[in-house]
Amino acid sequence: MLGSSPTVRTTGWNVAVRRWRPIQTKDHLQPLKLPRAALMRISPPRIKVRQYRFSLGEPHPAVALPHKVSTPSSGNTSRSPSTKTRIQPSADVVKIDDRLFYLLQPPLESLLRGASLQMPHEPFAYQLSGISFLFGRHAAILADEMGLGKTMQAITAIRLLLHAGQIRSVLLICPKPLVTNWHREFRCWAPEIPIGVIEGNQTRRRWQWNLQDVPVKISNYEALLRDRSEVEDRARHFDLMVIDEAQRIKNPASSSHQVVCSVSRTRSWALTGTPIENSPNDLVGIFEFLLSGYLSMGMTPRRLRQATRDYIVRRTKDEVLTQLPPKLNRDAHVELSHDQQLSYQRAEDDGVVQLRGLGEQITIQHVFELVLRLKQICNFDPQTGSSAKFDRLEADLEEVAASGKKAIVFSQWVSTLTELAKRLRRFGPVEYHGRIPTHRRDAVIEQLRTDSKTSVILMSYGAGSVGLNLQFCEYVFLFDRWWNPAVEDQAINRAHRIGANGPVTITRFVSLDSIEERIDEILTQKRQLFDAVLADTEMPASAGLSQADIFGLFDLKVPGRGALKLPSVAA
Amino acid sequence: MSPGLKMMTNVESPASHFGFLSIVDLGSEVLIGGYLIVNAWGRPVEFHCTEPVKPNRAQQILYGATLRPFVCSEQIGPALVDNASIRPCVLCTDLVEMLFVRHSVDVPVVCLTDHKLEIAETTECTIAGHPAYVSDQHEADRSLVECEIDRISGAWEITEPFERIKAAVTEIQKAA
Repeated sequence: MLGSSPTVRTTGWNVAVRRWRPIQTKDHLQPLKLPRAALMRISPPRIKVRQYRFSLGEPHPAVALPHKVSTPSSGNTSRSPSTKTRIQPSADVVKIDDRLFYLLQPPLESLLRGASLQMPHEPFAYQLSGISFLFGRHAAILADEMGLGKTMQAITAIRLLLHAGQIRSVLLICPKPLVTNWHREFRCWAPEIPIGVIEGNQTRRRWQWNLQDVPVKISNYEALLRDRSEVEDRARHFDLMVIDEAQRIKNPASSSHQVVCSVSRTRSWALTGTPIENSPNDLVGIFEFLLSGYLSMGMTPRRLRQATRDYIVRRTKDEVLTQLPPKLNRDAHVELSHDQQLSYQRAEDDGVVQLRGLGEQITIQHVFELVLRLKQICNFDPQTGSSAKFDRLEADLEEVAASGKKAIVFSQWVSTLTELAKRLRRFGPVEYHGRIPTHRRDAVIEQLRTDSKTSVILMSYGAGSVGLNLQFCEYVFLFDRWWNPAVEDQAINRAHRIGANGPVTITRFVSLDSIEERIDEILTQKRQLFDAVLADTEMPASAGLSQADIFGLFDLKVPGRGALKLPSVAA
Repeated sequence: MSPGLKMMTNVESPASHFGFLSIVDLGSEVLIGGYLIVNAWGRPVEFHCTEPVKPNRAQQILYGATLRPFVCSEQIGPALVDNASIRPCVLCTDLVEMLFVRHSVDVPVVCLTDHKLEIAETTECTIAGHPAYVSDQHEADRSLVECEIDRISGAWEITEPFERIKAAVTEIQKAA
């Protein structure tokens, strides 16, 4: 504005404006305030690790398998069936290392899938479960119902433990007639395991007891008693002792019980289809073998159940074998023949009069003698030999033989069996009882199995009720009745078991209006009580005939003395 | 000689051991690591497990979504493997988060799953019928793993030991 005006007045301001004014500057530094920062060191946490190491024991050198018997198949073969049976430790395994040892084992199916552990038959799921149960236990009762394969389960568990190096010496005790059966089953289910049967004279047995290269030794209850000095030698120890038909040692006062319990061992297994035959105390007796002092006589059923739950496995056919052919019960109520009726009436009248005449002197043996006499008359008339039961049996056997089937006839008397053998000659009968030498018994079974002309085997309850596999027989006849339903069941289950071809028909002969009918009623009640035990309800006080039952057969009162002495199952 | 040799005779070498790494999640971000070493026949030789591991608050904030892989692959996994006295020929895991433990250990690692997954930095393959993953940075692992697992093919199921780990950890927890 000033420069642009033509008439600029000189005021001197312009000069003043253009003059530089001296400016003085001065640095004045202020310290900068940094923000505060937090330092967080993140050190990795120290992770504590627990370690468990498992030693895989050396198997017995005699338990040898070829190293490579098959090549891995190609493709998607690592997928296994979905079923996995785990080995579970028992409750008495308390150390965590030991529990983990069992929990970390592969499923049983994996262990058995190895080519060299081939099984002749695929085990049922319940059998794998039983094997797994035994594998993990130092004390166990396998109490499956007869015919479910206790033998196979025990053998396979033994086999696995031997191969795993967990055990190196096994002692198996069974009733004498079953020794060959066990030997045969071992050859079938564990062919690579050397078995030693202890038999022969004393020198030979002593040599057999000392054999080192035989991991499994088999003996029987009677021989064990004879070899007491051998087995009670504390230097002799078994990693596992298995007793078959363990009800044999239910009485702690018996010699068998004492010698069995005296064997030095690490693991104890008991096999029995009838852990309770007569009373809950039977179980206490067996437990003395498993865990001495663990149970005591007179324990209440409830406490017994709680205490033993982890040690016992019991399955019934109804539970696990839905595919097993049915068991057809067909009680045959027959009227005594005229001759039999006369003899029977006379014997009973005289007998009862005599018994009453004894008054307070009467004992159980007196009553028992009369029972036996009457039962024998029900089988055959002592004078004429007539028999209503035989007539019925003969008619039934006609049908059995005509259809090419096989039958078993049970009786408690060898004399009855011998008589039947004479009368049934056209059916090619074979006999299997206490008078048949043990070494001939296998041949008897083989003849029944293979000879088409042999349609029937005549067996005593004692010799034929346990351990035998006769599933090729489709008919069972109980010509007379045993005192205990459990023993009858064992007899029936020789035929009604795994491998049975078809339905098994059981015929129980009962003579009407006789002692047999009275016994049958009592046994039916006993059976109901026994079933109640199996159903895990209240245990019965007794499953067999009691002293009161025997006296009650003749409406007699039990006197203040006279010990009950029912017969054991003898061959 | 190991007894297992006699059990599973279609397995040739008794020297091979297989490691199985897994995690049991107790909830609330508490994890327990389990490491099972089995022999060539699937029988247990060693088992290791951690005490319960819970990431602290700082780790939770800083690692965010990567926290679990960090805890599994960098904390629990190496601790377990380092503690073992046996070096397996293959380390199997059933957790993707554990796969990268491979960066810390000198053993082929494979993650075996039941389903196909989308996982970065991995190579997918099929091992013993299972979808499987190995780290991209260790591609050679794939053939090594295939070769080793093929040797036990048919003898036992390769993913089954993870179930045992979980059962064992549960048992230890019960006992604690």
